[in-house]
Amino acid sequence: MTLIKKVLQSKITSIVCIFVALINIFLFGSFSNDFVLEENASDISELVKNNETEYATISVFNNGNSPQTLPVSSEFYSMYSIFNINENKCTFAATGNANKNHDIQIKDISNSEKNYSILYADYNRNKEYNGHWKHDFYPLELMFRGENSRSGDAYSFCYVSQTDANTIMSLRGIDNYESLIGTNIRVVVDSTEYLYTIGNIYYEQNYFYQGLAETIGDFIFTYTTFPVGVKKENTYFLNSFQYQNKYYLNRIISKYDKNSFDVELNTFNLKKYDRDRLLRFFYHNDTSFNWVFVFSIILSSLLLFYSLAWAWFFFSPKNKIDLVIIVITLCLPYLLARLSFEMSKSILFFSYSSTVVNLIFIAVILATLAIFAFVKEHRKKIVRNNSYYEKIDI
Amino acid sequence: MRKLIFNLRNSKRVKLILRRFVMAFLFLYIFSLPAFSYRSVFNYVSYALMLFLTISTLAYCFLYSEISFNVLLTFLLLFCVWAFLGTVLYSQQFRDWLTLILLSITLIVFTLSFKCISNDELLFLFIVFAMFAFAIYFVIYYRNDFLSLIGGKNIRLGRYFANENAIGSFMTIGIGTSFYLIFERFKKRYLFLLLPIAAFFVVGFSTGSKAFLLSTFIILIVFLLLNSKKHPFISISIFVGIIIAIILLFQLPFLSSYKDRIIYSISGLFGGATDTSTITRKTWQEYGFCLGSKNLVTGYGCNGFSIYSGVGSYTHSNISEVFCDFGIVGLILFYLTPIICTIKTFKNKQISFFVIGFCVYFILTGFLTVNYYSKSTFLLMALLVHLTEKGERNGKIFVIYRYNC
Repeated sequence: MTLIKKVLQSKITSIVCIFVALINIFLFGSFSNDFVLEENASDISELVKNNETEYATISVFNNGNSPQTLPVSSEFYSMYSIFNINENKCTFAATGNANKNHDIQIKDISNSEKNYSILYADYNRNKEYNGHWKHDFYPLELMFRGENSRSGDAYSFCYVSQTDANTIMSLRGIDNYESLIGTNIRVVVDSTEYLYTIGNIYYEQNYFYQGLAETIGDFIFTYTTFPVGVKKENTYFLNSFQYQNKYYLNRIISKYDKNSFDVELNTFNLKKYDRDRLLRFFYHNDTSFNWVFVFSIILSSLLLFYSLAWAWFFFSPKNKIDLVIIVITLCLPYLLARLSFEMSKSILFFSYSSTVVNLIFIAVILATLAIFAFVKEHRKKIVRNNSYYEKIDI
Repeated sequence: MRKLIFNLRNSKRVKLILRRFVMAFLFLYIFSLPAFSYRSVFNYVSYALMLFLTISTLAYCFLYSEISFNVLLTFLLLFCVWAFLGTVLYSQQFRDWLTLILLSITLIVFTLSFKCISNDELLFLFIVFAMFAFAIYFVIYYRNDFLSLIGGKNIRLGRYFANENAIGSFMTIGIGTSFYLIFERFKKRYLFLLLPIAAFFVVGFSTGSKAFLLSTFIILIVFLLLNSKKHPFISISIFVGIIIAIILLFQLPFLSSYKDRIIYSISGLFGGATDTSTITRKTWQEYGFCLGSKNLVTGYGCNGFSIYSGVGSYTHSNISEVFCDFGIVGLILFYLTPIICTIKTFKNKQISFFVIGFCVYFILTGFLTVNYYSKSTFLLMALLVHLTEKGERNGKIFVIYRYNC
């Protein structure tokens, strides 16, 4: 009993408890909900790098359980202002058939095997831009101001690419683009034919077009009126930066209710992928998972409380060896976790949430030791003063 | 040579002329900081003034005093040295790191030149009038745009000189210094500083900088709180007057968008409706902390966040930016100076007013703007260290050279 007591009340035990308390957080950090998002984001970053592409897109769509509509222009502006300040990367687009689940073709372009996706917007007040025109909010450069109206008994209007416009013009024997505006084309969606009025022609240039071409291939631009059966999608452009991906994923799960919406990984530009693994962030059950992490924090707190309580007796700021040992003990868990990340490239023992908790614990330890040092020093001064005055009395 | 030095040292006239050169170059250099230093080609004027200030200061210190610097400056100097580690390992933005080194040299020259002047009231008046001269220059340059502003046009001024927030920070220093002279020295003759204060507010508002309004408000609140025991009635009156003035100003059409931006920012902090600017800043701050946590010791070097985040810009929060770029060691080294200055001057009633006020301003604005490589920050640090050194009896000073007469 005496031996156990000696061990429990020793300086080494105190230091070891601090170390265990801190390393425990890193070991169990993977049990937090935040870790699931972080790991999923990291997987997507690796996916983009491994596929040698710039983006991996995830589309969110209404699964039919609720009439909720998808926000388009407001969502675009939000993503644009946060991650596209230099106007050089895609962040968001409202689409249809992004994953080519339907067969959409322009019948007027014969012998074409292109399967078109849809880019759509809820506002289309096009603006003047560098001698031509640009869409209201998408950075899509346009040839004309455009006619956003239907001709005859057309289903809706659309904008086509300059390449497709050239093909249609040559087939019809037209020699100027303006004559094409207001004419109709036949768009076949899964064997059902729709008439669309050509409202404008978009240029196949700039980062936005290139991002769309890379991720959804050929597309036509249209309004919110969609062909029957084709779902409207909010498509997010994830990339090789882990935090940005985490932000997108967090936005998707907080903005879109799981009961009303579903997610889809668009694989047009991806060769190697694991769909279930990459979309687990959306279907992960987040109610009971956190308890393991919470329990580990409680355990670490208890260990810290115990070790700091005994540190009152052992710790002395004037003892330089004590200080060095404390600093090494505090830094070692982080360094080990970092080393494990560098060696394995896995964030299993090096998540953001565990680092944050660790830093908070370190701050508490340092503050407590500082208070101990201050109080001990203050007490010594009082004792010194008292003994000085006692000498004078003598 | 020795004879020459001897003669120079014994000449009171040379001493006076040299001291006046130091004062003149200091005034001109402080004026040039917002006026020229951020503009291409004109920044060479600023460099030249710095060179002349350095030469005259070193000459004065060599001949008549000592070349020394307070131990408090070592933290910032160490910070600049520490920044090299992350820069070499990660960002390799050596030009930005060189800026830090030049700023640290500026810091030392500032503190030496303050000692040469050796009259704090004169020093503060220099700062106020240098900023006032800039404010006049600003108003003259933008005189047509001011008329448009009054007419209700929604524009932000200042881009010709520098980033709008940078100009706002210089105006805040002008306001804080003026109020310090009025409150702490409280002599009626300093009431004429109300004119420069008005000019600083006009320029600050015209930049549309939210950081300017919030930081000026913070510093005024701290000043008023610290002064409330000495002059309670005046402090309360000034506080109420400021609130009424702000409310009235925001009713003017040309400040309506400014008002909306402030309201959205404050609302966003409490989870309410907000504008994209606030969401962006909040997100980037978190991003900076997240990125920094992955490289806690060295950080990613100068401009590291911009490169490694993919955002291509800074975090808009100095604390987050320093944490990400230079790690936790860099963060502690950077903020240690104002914190220690505050602790050391806490009981000194004459200077704690200024030191505590600007320390609180400095830490709180760390969440609003990035200022670790800004000239106004190093000017402010030099002032804090200078005042702290004057206020303490047994401060540690590194003496490089001392003239023994």
